[in-house]
Amino acid sequence: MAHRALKILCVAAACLGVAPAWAMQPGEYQIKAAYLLNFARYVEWPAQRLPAGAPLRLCVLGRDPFGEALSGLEGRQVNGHEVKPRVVDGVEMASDCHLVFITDSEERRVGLLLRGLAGRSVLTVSDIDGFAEAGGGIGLVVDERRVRFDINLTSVQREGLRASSQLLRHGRFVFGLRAP
Amino acid sequence: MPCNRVRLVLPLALSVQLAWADDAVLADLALEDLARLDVATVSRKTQKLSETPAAVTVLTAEDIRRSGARSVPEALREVPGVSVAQIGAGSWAVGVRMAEGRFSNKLLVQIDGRSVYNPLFSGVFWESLDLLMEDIERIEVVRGPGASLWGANAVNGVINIVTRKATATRGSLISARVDHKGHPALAVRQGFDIGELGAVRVYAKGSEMQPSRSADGRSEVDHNRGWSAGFRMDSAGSAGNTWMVQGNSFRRTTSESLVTTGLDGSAGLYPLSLEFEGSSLLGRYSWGLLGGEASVQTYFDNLNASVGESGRGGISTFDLDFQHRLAPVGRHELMWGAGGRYVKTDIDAATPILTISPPERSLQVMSAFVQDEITLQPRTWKATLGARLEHSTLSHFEPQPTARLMWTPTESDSVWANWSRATRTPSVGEIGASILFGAKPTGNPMLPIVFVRSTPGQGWSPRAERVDALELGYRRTLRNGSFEAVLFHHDYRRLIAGYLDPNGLILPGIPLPIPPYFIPVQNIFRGNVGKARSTGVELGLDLPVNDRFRFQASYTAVNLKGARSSDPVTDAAGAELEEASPRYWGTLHGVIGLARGHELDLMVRRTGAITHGNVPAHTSFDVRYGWRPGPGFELTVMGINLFDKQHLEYMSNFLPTQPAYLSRQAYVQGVWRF
Repeated sequence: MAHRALKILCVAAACLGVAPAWAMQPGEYQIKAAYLLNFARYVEWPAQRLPAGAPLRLCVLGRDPFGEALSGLEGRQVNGHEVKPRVVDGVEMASDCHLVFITDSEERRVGLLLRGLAGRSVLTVSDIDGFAEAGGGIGLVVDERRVRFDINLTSVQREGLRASSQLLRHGRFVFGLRAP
Repeated sequence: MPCNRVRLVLPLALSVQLAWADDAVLADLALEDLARLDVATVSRKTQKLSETPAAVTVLTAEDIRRSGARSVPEALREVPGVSVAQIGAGSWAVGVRMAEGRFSNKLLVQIDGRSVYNPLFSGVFWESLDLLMEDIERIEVVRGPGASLWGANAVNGVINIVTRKATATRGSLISARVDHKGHPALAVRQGFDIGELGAVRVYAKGSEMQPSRSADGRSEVDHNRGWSAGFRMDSAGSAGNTWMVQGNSFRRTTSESLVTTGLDGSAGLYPLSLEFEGSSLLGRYSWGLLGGEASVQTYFDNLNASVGESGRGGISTFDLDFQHRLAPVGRHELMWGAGGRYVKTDIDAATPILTISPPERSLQVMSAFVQDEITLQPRTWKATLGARLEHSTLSHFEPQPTARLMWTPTESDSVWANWSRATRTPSVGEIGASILFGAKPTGNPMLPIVFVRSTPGQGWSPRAERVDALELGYRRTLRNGSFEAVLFHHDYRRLIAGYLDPNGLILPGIPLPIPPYFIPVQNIFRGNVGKARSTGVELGLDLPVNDRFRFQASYTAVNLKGARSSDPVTDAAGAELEEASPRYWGTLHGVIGLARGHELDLMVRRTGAITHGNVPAHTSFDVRYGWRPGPGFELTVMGINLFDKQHLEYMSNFLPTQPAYLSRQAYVQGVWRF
């Protein structure tokens, strides 16, 4: 009986294993990296924080889940700024960055990190559950196998950043948006 | 509508497909295009695990959905190291690194930070828990002593059930299920926005569980039905200060039969019907404090259980807990906390079967912990030192230290080793209950029958059970998969167990109105007399083979040995624990994505034999078929135990109930979200 069950599972595994791979789809973090670039595009930093032509520092705080998807952003141009991605350790290093992606290895510290980065005109992004609700800037969520994002407008504005209407329109939820 | 979307996505998918290896193409996509891309394989939240120097498994909402689980124990079946066996309708033996039976007193279970471990009989009344599975965000299983952070009774592990924030459940949900015998379950949930404040959801659920069968398969031996309702309210944060309030109420009725021996030695059945009623209210607030983060949590919980006309018991708990994570200073990241719990239990037994003295008891537990995470070498070496000090009215002052070392040579590999000591507080029942287990034939013609009674040992000064645990683990996390191997060794001392009254039978014993007028009593004394050791290995694998197929496996082998010595008292106590566990168990799960929203799950489980109750080794095979035509609806058809007419998973060991066989079964479930 156990053998029968095992056999079925093995046959199923073999069929799927040798079958030609279905259409290649992008990985979750490839898509998320592309989102980071878009956020940089649709958010405006105060001029003294990001002078014209200055490089835009896009940082990953915690264990890097992006791999090559992150280095692929190196040297890209966003609104006349050259994107400089890097992986950082701790709030001190991150506070120089313009956009900080907090990875889920930092979940336990997320409140601490947000408080540490507050008031430094940093756009915080993360895929930690409930990030935007917890006072972060933009939370990436996987919903029905698609990557979407929630924005906490109150947090973004408090940092002196301006989110374009284009960005707000595509957000799944926008927190802190007053009804017109 | 779905057709439209396919037309939209198809050309896009084709155009981007040409050069996937090139992230450049993706990075050029606009927001609206990104939101339309299907993710090949959703990565599991394993990043945070690679930072944890402990054997931790996180079951995501997706894992729970794909397992077809109707209850938390069913969802835990595939977690390495967790032994799950069904005792009957809604009642389970859930243990970590061993099976202990009906009341696993060495395992702490919490729902959103509220302990559901009851201090009356040291364990979880799984039969009284029926959660709305769709609202569970994740289940975290920490194997090994988690005492330094979680507190007493986390001797073998901690199970944290975390429900979704109300801000993530804004819509409506209806979930309806019916099994092949017509037992229904219906749940509704509605979320509301409360403007600047955040969001709230309310829910209600009613269910009747599938009864178990008798050994001959002809009749039903148990029942379990009831309802629960509740709410959860979450802030939509501002300034990083967050709060949450939740409450729930439930009522469940269960019935089963105790196997008793009549005066003539014949076996009989004594119906046992339990009614559970409970409610709880919990609040939590987090805010910035001294550059760090603090949170305070408080809850009130009330549980009542009544046994027909013959008695009732109540537990009221008030808990207050404070935690503070300080901003890192140099290499150190410090966290500390303190808490207090006040528990009042009262038992009102109207039969001589169970007496507790004193019938009313109140106990206080005060505790404090401190933990320091030390970065020895950035990104490579990390050490954690921690300790919890705890004082309970029911035991001595118990320090519970831990020391952990973690080495992460690469981004994807981690190796850890730890040593911890943890304790398990004696329960109110263990300290004060006297339970008459019924008549037992002796084989002696002069005294053909005796009554067996379990009672606290004479002059016993109860102490907490203690474990010293060593663990060595290796984890490899890939972007979409993981492999984990853990070796452990637990050394248990002062285990509370029963031993025969050295003074022999008590004569004349209990009076009877009929001949032979008196029945002698054999006392079984309880005391801190047991010692045991366990050594084992836990393996876990999650392997994404391709876009459509993922393979998951788990295997656990445990060698649990009661101490052998010249003292028969210690031997008997150790043997009791040894006999309650299988020596190995394992699972295989094929997670298959078919085209157009169809899903298939093939699951096989194998569990070794259990000496207690002569439960043979068994294999079960489950199949789940799921269909999601769109975001608003999901259909599940589940077949359980398909290749076996029926089998026994566990024999109830605390309450000697009638063996409950699990038959082949099926259910169909629809979930609507709108």
